[in-house]
Amino acid sequence: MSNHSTAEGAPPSVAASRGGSGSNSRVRAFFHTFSRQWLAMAAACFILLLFIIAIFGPMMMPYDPQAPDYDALMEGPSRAHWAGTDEYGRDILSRLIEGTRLTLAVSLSAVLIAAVLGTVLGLLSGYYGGWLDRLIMRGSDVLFSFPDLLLAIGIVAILGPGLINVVIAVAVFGTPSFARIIRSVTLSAKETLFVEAARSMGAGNGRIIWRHIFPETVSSIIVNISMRIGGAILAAASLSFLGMGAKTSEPDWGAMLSMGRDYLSIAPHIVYFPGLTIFLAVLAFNLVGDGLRDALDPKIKP
Amino acid sequence: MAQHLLEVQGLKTEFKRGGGRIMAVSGVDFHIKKGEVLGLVGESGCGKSVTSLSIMRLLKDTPGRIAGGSVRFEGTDLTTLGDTEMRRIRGNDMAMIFQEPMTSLNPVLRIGKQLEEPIRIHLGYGRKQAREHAIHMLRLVGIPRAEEVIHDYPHQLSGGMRQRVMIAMAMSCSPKLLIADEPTTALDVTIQAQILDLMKRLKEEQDMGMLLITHDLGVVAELCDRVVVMYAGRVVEEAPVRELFADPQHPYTKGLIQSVPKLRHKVRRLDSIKGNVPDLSQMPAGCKFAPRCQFAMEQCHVQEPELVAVNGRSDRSSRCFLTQEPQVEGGGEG
Repeated sequence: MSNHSTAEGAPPSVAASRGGSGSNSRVRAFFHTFSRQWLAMAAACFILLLFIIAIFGPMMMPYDPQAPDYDALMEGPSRAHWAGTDEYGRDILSRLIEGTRLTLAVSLSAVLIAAVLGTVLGLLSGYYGGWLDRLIMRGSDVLFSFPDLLLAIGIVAILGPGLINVVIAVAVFGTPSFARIIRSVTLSAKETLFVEAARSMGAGNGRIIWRHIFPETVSSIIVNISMRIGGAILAAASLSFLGMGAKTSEPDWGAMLSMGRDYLSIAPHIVYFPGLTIFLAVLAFNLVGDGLRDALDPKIKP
Repeated sequence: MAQHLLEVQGLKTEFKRGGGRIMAVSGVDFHIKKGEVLGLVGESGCGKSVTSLSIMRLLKDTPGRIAGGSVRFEGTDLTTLGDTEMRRIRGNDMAMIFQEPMTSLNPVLRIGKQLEEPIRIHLGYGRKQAREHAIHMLRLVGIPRAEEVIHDYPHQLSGGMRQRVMIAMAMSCSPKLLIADEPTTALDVTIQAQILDLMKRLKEEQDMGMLLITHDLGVVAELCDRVVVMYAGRVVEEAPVRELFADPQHPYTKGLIQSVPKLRHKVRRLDSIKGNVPDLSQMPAGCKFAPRCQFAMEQCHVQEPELVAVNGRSDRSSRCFLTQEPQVEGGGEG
């Protein structure tokens, strides 16, 4: 056997790339591409900050977000209340901090549910094709034909208001986009030779989908999750603004916006700060989504 | 009649295209004995690969389907088996090597993981046992430092190394039949020779049958015991390998052999067969090769000759009126 082994040997590139770096090179290449996009990096830092606030929020809040202070109703930004107070004298900054947790929880869980559902449906649809494909794709066409928010409003109208139902509504209208994207990746992945080779080795459908096709879809899933979170924040805030999501007592960004609307002419800061926060959060997630797509999609690599 | 390892009879495979159906393989017969290497030769588009995919029943993701005939593997007709039973045979009793080693390995899975897959499916080994077997297989195909290579990703290996990995994977469950679909076409010439040597050695060690699909007559001469020549989805000639080169019967085979450059003869221009394989949707009425054949007679354009034994021998046959002159009207036994 040795005559065979020495004949070809390992090409120099194999020898060079070994030594620990091999498995991490893809990850490292990704970080390299991603970190060169300063805008996406800045947005990612902001998102990181949001997560830190969501986790450690209670420690950072200068006031109890629920405690009214009738001596300081609708006060503008001051040294005591950086973002001012609302119509019950509650500290807006504290409420925004508390709302971060709420907003991230709602939008993340909604998008993750949509991602899981959409991925499963997309894999099944793309892999098996036929009537199943037609059923799933026509189903998503139906959901797609509603304007995003209208569909969510419809779902909440059926289920009743409440944050859990907002999660369900946002997840439902996010699912078809995942299903479509994953289906198209699946369609091209199942034509690859390594899938055929795996089948020729006797691998079953489940194994082929999970081991060989699903890993191909991961980068698309990640990109779409990051792109969708911005939309989900906006949708959740809109529903709360319309009074179909969080109760007005809850420190949800959308609900705060809705409450402040009544006092727009006399205390505009009540609206400014939640609005600005929503704007920045959505913008950050969208920028990160774009950055991830540029870094992960081999087709538009610079 | 002794049972053959693989017996393909009247295999027909058709593809849907537009509204109609197209026969890619129309009535192919051949057999492979235990420990024998059968070469399946022909130009691009003659149905070689479709034949191999039909045998493995891997047409599912294509618009193709087996329209008739039987594929008997150790006596069982594979065309009637269910998916689960077929899966048990694939990779276990029957394995396949593909043309493109660069893309037939999953780029995101380590070599070890992929190699262990068929071992764990078919042999039921545990994680540790499978890993040991995988390393053993890599050594068997001549990969140095097998313990390290199993931790590599496919992109870290060269084409020749990847084809070795594919061979190791195909051989890991000691198949009785190996289908190699142009295993050396995508490789450098020096690596080709090594891979052919490797396949020859493994075949002898394991005593398995092999169906070697190729358009490279050099590979055929190197490895095969018998050869089946295909043209436009049909078998046009079958012969033991030496006789095929020494005394080809069908004009198409003659053309193929003449278009290979020879070292000893000084020729200015290489012979070639004029024209292309006919479009499957616009087949000529008579002999499918007639439009390109320099010996074509009037009869050839009207009637398709049958595949008939040459000189009454069972191991030689040809689909040409020229080789069956005494019984032109009879048309053979079909």
